[in-house]
Amino acid sequence: MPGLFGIFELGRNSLLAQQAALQTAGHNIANAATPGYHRQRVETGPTLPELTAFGALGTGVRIDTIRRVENRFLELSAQREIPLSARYSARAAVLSEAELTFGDPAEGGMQTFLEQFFTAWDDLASSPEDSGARDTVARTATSLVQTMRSTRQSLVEKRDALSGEMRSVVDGANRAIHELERLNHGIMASEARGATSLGDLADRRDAVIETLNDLVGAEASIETNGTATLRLGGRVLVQAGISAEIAWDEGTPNVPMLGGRSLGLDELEGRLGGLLQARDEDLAAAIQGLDEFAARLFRDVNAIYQQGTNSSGGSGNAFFVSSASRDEVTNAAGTIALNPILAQDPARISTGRTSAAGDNAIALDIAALRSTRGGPASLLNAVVVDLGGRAREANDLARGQEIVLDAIRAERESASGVSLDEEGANLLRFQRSYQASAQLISIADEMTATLLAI
Amino acid sequence: MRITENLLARAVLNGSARALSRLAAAQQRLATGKNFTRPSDDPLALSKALSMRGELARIQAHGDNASGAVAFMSLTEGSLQEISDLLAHAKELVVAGMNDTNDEAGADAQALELRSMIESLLQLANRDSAGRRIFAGQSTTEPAYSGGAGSVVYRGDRGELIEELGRGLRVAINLTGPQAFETVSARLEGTVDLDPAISSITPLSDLDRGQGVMTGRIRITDSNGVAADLDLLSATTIGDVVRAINDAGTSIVASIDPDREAILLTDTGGGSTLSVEDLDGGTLAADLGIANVSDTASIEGRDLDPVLTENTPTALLFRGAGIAPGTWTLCVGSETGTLSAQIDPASANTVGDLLQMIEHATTANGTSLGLRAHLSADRITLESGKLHTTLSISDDAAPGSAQAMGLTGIASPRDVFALLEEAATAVSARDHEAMDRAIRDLTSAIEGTAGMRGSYGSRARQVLQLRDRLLDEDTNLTIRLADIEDADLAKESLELAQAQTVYNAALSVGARLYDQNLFDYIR
Repeated sequence: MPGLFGIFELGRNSLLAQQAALQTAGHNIANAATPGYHRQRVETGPTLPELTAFGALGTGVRIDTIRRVENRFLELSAQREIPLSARYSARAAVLSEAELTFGDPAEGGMQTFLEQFFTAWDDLASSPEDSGARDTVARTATSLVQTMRSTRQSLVEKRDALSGEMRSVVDGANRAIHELERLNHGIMASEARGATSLGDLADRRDAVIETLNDLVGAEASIETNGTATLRLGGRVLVQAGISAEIAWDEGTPNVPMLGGRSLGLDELEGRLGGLLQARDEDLAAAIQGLDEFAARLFRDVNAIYQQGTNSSGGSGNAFFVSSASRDEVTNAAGTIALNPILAQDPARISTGRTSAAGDNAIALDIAALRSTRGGPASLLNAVVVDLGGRAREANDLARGQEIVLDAIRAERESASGVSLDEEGANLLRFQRSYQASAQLISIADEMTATLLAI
Repeated sequence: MRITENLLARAVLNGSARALSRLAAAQQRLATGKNFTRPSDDPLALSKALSMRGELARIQAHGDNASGAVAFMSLTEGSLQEISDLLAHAKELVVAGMNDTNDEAGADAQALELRSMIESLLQLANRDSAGRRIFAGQSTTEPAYSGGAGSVVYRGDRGELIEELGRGLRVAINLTGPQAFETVSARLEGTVDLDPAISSITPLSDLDRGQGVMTGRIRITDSNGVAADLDLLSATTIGDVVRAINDAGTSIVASIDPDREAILLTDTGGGSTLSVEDLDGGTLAADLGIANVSDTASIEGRDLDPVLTENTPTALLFRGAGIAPGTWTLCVGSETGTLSAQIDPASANTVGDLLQMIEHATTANGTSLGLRAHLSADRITLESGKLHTTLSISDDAAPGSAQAMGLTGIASPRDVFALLEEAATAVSARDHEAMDRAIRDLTSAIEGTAGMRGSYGSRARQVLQLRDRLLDEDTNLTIRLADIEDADLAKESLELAQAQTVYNAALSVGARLYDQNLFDYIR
């Protein structure tokens, strides 16, 4: 039955609803710049009408729910793209640094040392009697092998540093896993209290999922109760009430493990995947290429040099020596050295097959190696170009993925971000509604006074 | 689309960051002048640039080689020129030594000068180019020749000094001592006098080793006292003389003696006294050895000793014994192999035919041996027409005709040091025959040196062209490399200006975005 006190009740409900809406607008404004924040909206609805003989009479407003505005499709897209982006940019960062190991390709790089080495042999071929030309051959050979060794050393150090970096990524991922586990717990608890909306709790959950995606790239899904389930390589990382830690295998091949099994490149995304790829594919290929180049140089130069006889009649033994066994390619660049006998006494360098001072057959053949197709020089070029190509590929992928991710983030911001103008308009709207509701109560009060004065 | 402040901020940030990175890239290209400073900037162009850079280094190294080779070769060419000049002067000296008016003092001075030339030649032979002895083969650190006049010995080897002047293109830039100095052709001199007999066709001018006899008028008187005055002024051959005597109407019969050395006069008139005398103060009968008064019914002239000429029939050689049957194998040996040819000397009618046969000798497949043959002092001399070759003859029969002519052993090319020594000895001894030989040898050596200059000079020109080509290639490749590697400054400056404009615009738009919002109007 419609009554005066019903108007009081209606006014009170309206005041409460406008207050909640105002507070939510204030909350939105306060979090306008908070990363990952989704704007919230108070959703109100009319209370049940009072049925009268002349029809349903409105009884006011009530708060249905405080909704967190999100586009689930965009959230999922972001979670799919983040791991790729993280993987590409982690790999690109490693390779951008690694590709400089070979020095400026135009000048001063390892190629320059190789050219100088061959040019020294060429000069020696032109004046095989000259002891100065022999000194130059020994000096350029020493510089070349030192550069090869230090370049290899530097590549190996970078590769090993990646293992350390991956371990800290794994540590970060484990921290995120624990946080997500706690969040799952909180979500279940709030559900138990009967909350219909998770609000900021969901923001926090999504942010942690994003962190995990960035680090290791897990496959995430949100259960109907709001808890998150994450899988890595088909194995459960986090589920309501369960969580697993990523372990680290110290031995060879020095890889992350989950549930007693090692995680391979095809199971990992995110920074961990990028770093693993850089370590096991890119840097490994560069080191391997450098070793092949060294082994080739070693073999080709020695094969020619061993036919030689030096001017004092001694037979040429080896120009390059290596602590590795003869045809071993592994670590060839790290073990190659100028024969110490020749390094000590360059005058013993052979130039020809006979002991005649002007015989330059050996020097000619070694100098000609510079333009042998598929020879040492082209192997070295291939290593540098290959590493550059990998860096280029990683950069391009990272940049492309960044654009995709940017677009998705912009869409997400557009859907879920806070617009200050909008909140400002809402503030005015809710303030006016609040004032009008208060006015209603005041009128109802006057009406009551009028009634009492009868 | 719903626009929020964060979205605008992100757009501004992204836009200005992109503009900034574009600015930084353009600035880096301008600052370094290179299109790429790290391999990932342009791996494809880098790959091209690296292989071009390798090629450029090779071309520059080969260019250096070629410049060194050009210097070396021009020194060698100059030395060959000096050798030619020295030999020509030596020849002049020997020719002067041949002059009959040359006295002993003059000869000594010429011999002294010839010997001093040996020293000059030695210095020339031991020249070096940047410390490398140019004529010592590969033994470049030691003098090519040692010893002094009369005992100059080559100490080098026959090795080539090789320079690489292109990919797989290797050129020998040197001449060894033997190539430059052993320019006197191998000569095989017959050591046996071929001693031709006379016949009716033997010219009177060939007699006495080519000094000839003076024709004149003679009187012959037979045993019956019949005398005839014979006018032999126009006689040219032995046959003319014999025929004139036989046709004179006396009982004297003239013939060639069984030894085929002399003219034999026999009186058939029954008596034993006959005489021959020269008339008008002539010397014909005396020269023929028949100016005599005989009481034995015959007069035998003296050994007329005709000279060997090209017209001499081979049947008259060796006092009419002729050339023994059997073939000769002529061999010309060089470093690259031996050419050999067979000839049949017995089939030659005259000595001239034999010489022709030798000079035209060809191998089984038609390659000429290039021999030269000539006569000197009744001997046959063979000379190789090719430089730096050896020469030998072998008989298929024993004893063969070549051996009979004294054409034995292997003749090797000789060096100009020995030649000058021989010339000096010949001049100081005033030995005309030896001087004659020396002049022939010097001529051969001058020709040989000229031949070397020709073939070596064309090699030197080839190297010069190669060097020029390498310099061209160097320039072209440098330009092409710059096309790939070097930044286009004009383009990059424009790019920099554009990037700057975009960056400024992004910043100024960003700054204005937050100027105002709704709250400015809420009172």
